[in-house]
Amino acid sequence: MTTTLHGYGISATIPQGFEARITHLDPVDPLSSRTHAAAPMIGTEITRPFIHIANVPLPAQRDTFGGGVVETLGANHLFLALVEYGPECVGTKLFSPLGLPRSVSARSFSRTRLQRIVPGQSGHQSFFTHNGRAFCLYIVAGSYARVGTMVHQVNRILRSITISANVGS
Amino acid sequence: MVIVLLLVLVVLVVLTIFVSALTASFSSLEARLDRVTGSTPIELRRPSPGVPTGVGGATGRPGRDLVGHDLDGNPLTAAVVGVEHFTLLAFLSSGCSTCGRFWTQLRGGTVPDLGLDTRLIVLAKGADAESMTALTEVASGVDVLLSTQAWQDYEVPGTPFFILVDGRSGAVRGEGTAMGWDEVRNLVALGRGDASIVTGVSTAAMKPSSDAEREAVIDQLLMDAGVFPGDPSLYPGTTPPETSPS
Repeated sequence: MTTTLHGYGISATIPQGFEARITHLDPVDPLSSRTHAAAPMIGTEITRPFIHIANVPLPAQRDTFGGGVVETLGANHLFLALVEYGPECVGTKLFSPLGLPRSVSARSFSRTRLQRIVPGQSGHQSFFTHNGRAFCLYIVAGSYARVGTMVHQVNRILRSITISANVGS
Repeated sequence: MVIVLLLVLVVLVVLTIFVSALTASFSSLEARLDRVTGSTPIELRRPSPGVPTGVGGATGRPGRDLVGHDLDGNPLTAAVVGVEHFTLLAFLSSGCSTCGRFWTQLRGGTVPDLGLDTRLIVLAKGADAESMTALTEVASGVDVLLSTQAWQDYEVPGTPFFILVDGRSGAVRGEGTAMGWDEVRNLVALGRGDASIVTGVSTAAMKPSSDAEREAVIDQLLMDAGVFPGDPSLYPGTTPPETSPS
């Protein structure tokens, strides 16, 4: 049994035992109204959505790259984040690969590819552009030793993800 | 003579009707009284796979994963089936007065202790069936999953309503309404077959049943030997208690 999640031009089929949240944070505006009156376009942050998929509970308060979740991963758990970057990133070298990866290998996981080192865990990072939108795919496996037995679950999810052309922020 | 007999007959008929009416009235009153005094604020259902329980369907029926939105309109799903823990689904609404105490405690971050492996998910209906203005006010800061579909999937009869799902079997293990978190904890304990989280009952304070059995055997052996409670031989070097059994 699966569920389907969609929002902000992204959709994914979530397998049983996994759950997902697409989050679009409110922009932070550090400037005063007086400063804005002088320069309305300066200082207003534009936020982009990110999707988190995991086979552990996803709390409301989570960091973009899984802070608040990855600490809870057990040996058989996975965390996947798809984080959108701004349009200025499209066409840059980092985001030059085209298309969301539909398959990752166990060898692409490494303890040094974690955004935050947690003993026993391993991570995967890839950057790409899909339908004119720039993304980072970040995956954390709860156990480095068991990545080989878990990548099929990751690839199943990756194959189900669709990303439409830019839907605006 | 005939007239007298007729009068007696009429009086008897009138009396019969009067007594019947009184009896019917008393029965009705008794039934109402039973309903009032016999009502309970919570319906607890022990896990009994496949047994219909009336309101809300049946324990043992399959649980369903949840799909909806949060209060900010962000889409989300929540896994209830195929996970290694229990999930307590708390169906609340902005308009029900009984829900107020639950919202208040949730807003204050006073999440009840439901046991280590029980996850709480608070649900409300979606914007199609709930006042978002009122809900945003009562549920401010609370992680709420808005899903009218979930209410239909779980046949929720009203609010507040609580359903416990066993993630391993994917089955509903208990359901009912409650007036406070203590009653919800009882529901969870019954559904899990775990008395340790029932309010006021601490496993640390409970004596194991094997202790009680051992005590009974020793008492019986002593009494068979003629040693009864209060016997001086039980208190070597001390004065036996004054209250000894006859």
